[in-house]
Amino acid sequence: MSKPSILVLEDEVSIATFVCASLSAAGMLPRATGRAVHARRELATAPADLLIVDLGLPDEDGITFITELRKTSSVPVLVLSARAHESQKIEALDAGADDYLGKPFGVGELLARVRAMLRRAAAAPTAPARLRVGELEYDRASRELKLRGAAVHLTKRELALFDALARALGKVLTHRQLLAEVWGAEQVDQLHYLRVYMGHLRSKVEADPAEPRYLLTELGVGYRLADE
Amino acid sequence: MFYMAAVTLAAALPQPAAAGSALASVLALNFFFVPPRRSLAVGGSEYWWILLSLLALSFGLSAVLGSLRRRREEADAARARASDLHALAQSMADVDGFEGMALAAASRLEVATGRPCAIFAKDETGGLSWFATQGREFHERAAAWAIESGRPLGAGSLAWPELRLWCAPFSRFGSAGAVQVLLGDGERPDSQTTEHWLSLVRQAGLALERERAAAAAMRSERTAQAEAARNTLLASLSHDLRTPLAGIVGSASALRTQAASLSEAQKGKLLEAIEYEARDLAVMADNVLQIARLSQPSSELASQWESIEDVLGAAVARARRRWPTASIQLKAPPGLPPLRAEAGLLAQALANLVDNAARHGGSPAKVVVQAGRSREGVFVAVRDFGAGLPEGDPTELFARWKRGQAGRAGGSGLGLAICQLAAQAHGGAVSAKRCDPGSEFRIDLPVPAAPEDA
Repeated sequence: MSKPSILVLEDEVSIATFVCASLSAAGMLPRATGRAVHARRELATAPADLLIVDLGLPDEDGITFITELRKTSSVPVLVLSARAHESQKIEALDAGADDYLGKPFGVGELLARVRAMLRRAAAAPTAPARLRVGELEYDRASRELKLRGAAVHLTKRELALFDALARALGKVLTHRQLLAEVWGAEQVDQLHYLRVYMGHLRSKVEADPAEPRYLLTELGVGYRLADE
Repeated sequence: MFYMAAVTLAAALPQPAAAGSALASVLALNFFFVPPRRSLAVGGSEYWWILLSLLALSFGLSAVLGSLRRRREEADAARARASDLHALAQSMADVDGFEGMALAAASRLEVATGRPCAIFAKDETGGLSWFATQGREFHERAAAWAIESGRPLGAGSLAWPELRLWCAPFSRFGSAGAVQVLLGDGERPDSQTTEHWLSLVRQAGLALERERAAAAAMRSERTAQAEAARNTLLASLSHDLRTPLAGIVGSASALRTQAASLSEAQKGKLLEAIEYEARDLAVMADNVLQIARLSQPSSELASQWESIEDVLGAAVARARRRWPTASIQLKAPPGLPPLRAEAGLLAQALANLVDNAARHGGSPAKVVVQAGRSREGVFVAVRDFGAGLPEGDPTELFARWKRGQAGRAGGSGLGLAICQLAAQAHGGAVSAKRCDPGSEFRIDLPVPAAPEDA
């Protein structure tokens, strides 16, 4: 596989510098720009395999940029958010971003996210029919979940919730996305449903529901199924 | 007999009628009983004397009785006026806040005057707003004139008596408002009535002005407190920032100038120290941001339904990354109810508690984090097995920006202050107690009734 090309849209020079340095040290081809207009021009001439987008851009709202981008492209987008843009990262995910990193972050976290996203993008566009995470086995066709070989009995809603997370394997799904998928578009504000059902699901799947291994919490954002 | 009945009748009648009745009874006595009977002629001078003294007696009696009655009526009216004033004071004392008091006064005045009333009050910008229990046509310009001139106006007063309203300011000079009473067509309240109304207006005005002054005093006190808190925060910050910054500057400059003579292991240590101190600074920046936000009197939480396990899990994970050698145990029973919380803030508060416990929990630190149900909701208790709390009152620990103990293993001291602010913002409370060994910090949070299940 050729070196993945990564466009870094970040106006803070110190962060752009260290992100590009560590990406190229990890064998990728990064290029950086601090303006959304430049990024659009760049993408038109040379497409990228992944975008890293800071939410606090000087010339444009990061969310607008992602919304625009999603109209024409499904390239993976990793959002960088500072504390001041806390609520914006959720909007960005709802607008189509694939993952986020809160500032400050270390190189380890950055590379792990980028690699996982590239891996997912390279995999088949549709989720695999069967998947295995740790001691969990899930067959999408028969909708069967097994833990250490034994079938786990799930209610219809629990199964729908697990299935949504399994299809996105490793990718964070926001509360709204999960609620829309499992309960329907008009229930996206009924967060307590999600809390209650996630509790049920964890008690059936996790050895210690207080410290989950599979069904991971993204605090204030959503949930993801661990991608080991 | 007949005469007595007539005099009694006279006593019960108002003054002119009483005089007439007295005269009539004496004439009748003369007509029927004084010889020659059945004529108004009087038979002798001794009868003249009797009739005249009887007439004088009945006049005198009816005058005395009349004045007694007048006095009783006056006393009744005074009692009614006093009870109006009392009821007004009572109804205004029963409510909180300027608006509530103004509305209570308006409705009470309506009862007392038997007519639609409005309270006009100047607001901070100098504009007039009015409070009334019914949306009638009140006249702002009349109220403004009354406030400006300090005099009553409208029917029953000297200024604009042709208006179909009566309006009086709270006070003669620099009044903060006025009361307006709407009158019927051609109605002219007499001077006694307007006097009574005026005393009601004065009383309502006094109470309203007192309320406004108290609110202003409380506002300025709060501003002063916020100011003092900000100053302490700034002083404490500049101190707390220096420690990690000194470490970062030192390590970085050593790496740059002495790279050749440092071993790989030493370089690694210095780099690790830089990252570690910088992450501490990031946590501190978050803490400062939250303190500044929660110290605002008008700060609001972005609360949603959260599960305490999720929030606690994030807090414990953060502390574990920060203290990789500490043993941090998390115990949460299944089925804890969801609560309304701002996840980020609550996780930060809990992470501060766990962080403190790991910092002071001995070496290597052992920390047990226990979540559970309480009577009002849920609790989280963070127990450490270290040196315990410093001497003195444990509640003192939460006083903003106080360090637990000089020389303890660092920490900004902001952490506990945020715990307290965050717990309070969620309608809960924090507490600390001594254990043997170590100490326990506990956050109690209320759990509202969850809406129906899906």
